[in-house]
Amino acid sequence: MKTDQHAYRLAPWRKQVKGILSVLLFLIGIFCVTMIYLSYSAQLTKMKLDIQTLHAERSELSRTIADMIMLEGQLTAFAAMETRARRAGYFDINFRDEETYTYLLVPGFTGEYHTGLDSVIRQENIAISPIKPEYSQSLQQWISENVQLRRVGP
Amino acid sequence: MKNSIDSRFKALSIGITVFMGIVVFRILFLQTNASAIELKESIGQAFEYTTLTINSERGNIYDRQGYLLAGNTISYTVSLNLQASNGHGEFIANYLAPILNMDHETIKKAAEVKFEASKAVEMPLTNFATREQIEKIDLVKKYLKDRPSTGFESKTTTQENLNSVLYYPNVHRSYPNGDLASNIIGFYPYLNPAAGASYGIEQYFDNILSGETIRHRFSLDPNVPENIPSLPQGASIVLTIDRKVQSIVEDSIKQAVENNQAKSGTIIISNPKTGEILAMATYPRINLNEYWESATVFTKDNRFNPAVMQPYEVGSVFKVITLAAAIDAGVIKPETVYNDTGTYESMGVSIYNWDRGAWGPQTMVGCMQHSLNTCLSWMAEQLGTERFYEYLEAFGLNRPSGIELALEDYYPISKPGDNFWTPINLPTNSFGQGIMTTAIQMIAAVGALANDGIMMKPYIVKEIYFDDHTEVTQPEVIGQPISAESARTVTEMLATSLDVEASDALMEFTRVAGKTGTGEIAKEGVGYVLNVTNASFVGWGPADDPEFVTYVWLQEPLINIWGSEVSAPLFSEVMNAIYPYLHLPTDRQLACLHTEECPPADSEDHYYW
Repeated sequence: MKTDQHAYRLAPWRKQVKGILSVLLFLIGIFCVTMIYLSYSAQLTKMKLDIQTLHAERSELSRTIADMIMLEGQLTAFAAMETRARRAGYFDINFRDEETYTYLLVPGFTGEYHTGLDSVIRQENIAISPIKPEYSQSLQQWISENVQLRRVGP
Repeated sequence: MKNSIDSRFKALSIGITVFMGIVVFRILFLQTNASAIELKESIGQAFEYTTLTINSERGNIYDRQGYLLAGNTISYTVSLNLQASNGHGEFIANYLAPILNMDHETIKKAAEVKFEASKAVEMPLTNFATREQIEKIDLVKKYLKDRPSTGFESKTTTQENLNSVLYYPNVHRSYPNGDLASNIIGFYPYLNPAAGASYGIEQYFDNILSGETIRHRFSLDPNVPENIPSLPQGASIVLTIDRKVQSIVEDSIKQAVENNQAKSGTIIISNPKTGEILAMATYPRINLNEYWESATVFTKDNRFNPAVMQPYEVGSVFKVITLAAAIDAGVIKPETVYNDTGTYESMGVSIYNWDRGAWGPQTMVGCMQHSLNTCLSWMAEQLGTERFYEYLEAFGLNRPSGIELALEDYYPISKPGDNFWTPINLPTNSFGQGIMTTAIQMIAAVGALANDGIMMKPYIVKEIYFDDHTEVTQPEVIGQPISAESARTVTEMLATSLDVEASDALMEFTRVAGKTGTGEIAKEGVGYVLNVTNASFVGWGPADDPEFVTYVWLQEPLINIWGSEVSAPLFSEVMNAIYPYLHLPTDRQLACLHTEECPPADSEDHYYW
């Protein structure tokens, strides 16, 4: 019986290299996917920790602001200011004494009007969110938004 | 040899396959078994989520110039972790007692409460530690941690530290001015927030002042992106009152109540052109930081803010309403003469004057000068029952004023057709008997006389600051009970009559109109009691162009029961003290501006230009 044999064939070491490379390629692929996943997870974890830290900082800050406003309120409380003023040598104006108190008509002056706007502190709400949109939207949404932006942009 | 290796490989393959099969089976079992799922969920609850408490603070309250009247401050809850504190009570108490100003034994006992994982884990020591106290605790902790120790100590005494001491920040309501304007502000009970705000602005605007608190479940799974929600802050409120004016008025009413041994006292000052309240002082008051005193200080007959919560029989002050109605209806004129014989007969009942005297022929100004009940009874009958009560309705005396303060009360007027109304009500009501109103209703009604007949809604909130917008209160016209001409006539009549009726009420800076009132008080089952009165006064000025209306009420003064002798001078004292703060020129200053020669300062004449 005659057996056909190739004139040449892959050397065994080449087969081994090919096998190893295939396995390596497969492993590299898995490694890349794993790295992407780990990187994604790590960034998101960091951001979530940031969110909690910022939340704690914001809570502390808002408490401190409230405390500072109260401290200012205590320092400028009517009784406290009056006591300080008297200690500093100030005294009540005698409104009957025309040398110290007089009424002037100022043309164009329509009167004193306090809106309180300057003194009252408005506490703005700032949302805590270091999460990039990429992490909270699908790839399709992200692409469509970016494509739209490019179309609209200059 | 080769067969032996093959059989070993086969055995290994079978072993691995069986092992994998068991693993797969176990995985499937764990994913479908109910108790395993429950276990997984409970572990998930504990480790996959954390609960964050998110709160927004209660809004602040300011006076018209932006000075803080009610705000929030930090305090700390200090507690002991019993697992760590057991056995170290003496050591912990030695350090904490002087810092927290607490009893040594109390702290020691708290630290030695036996730790039980299911029952006793933490023992709170105080809820109101200050920031300074917390900083001291941190310093001591650091000192104990950093202190050098010998080898022997490292095995014994250095075990003792303050690591068991924990603290958490709280925000609670605080009132930096204590009792200033407390009757207006009300309070938020920081020791028992569940009870809710009580009285005044705090209760009326509780919905918009109150911050919100939510507990947010925050996933620790990095693959679940999420934000922490942001809550809107409670709105801040700016009042129309000026704290300087409020303070002067509060000092005066306190003195008056104490000097006259009155049950309570009330003074309201408003701007008749807008209806804004410039001051609303009452006494007694409480320090709002010790709000629990309200339970002992205030009673059914002596409310938290009598200005809006306590209707009473105002007495002769009410005559200005009857006079205004009669003038406006055209049934009398200032010069109309009434012959006072000392009694007025109505439905077989005799009505007498306050002094039981007969004053003979009197013009309408004379009737007001001598505060004649007989004359006012006659005036009301000239006006007619129907029209009289129509005017009272028009003056807003049969409904709450609508001011932004909680628990405003009013007493419905009994009219013809009502169960308790009898024809004798008409003459008695005309001079303020048998009819009850609150001070705020009266000041709104009299405001119409000072503002050309136009009645403005009283308001005490100037602005409300929300997170995203500001609401500014606009003056609101709520009616015109009488014409402008009638209002000016009545003002002029009462400015003239005041000279004779209660000269103590006259102001040195400007000419004012006003009327005194001494209302008798009816006690349940006894009727009107002798020498127990409500002493009142209402005044407005400058008479030519009124810029303020002031209402004074002393409840049951014992030393002097007459409105003309107690409330009228109090009006003058208060208004002279605050007049410059209202930024109004005196009559003489105006005369100086409008005439070539300035009148002398010591002249007692009134000035015209």
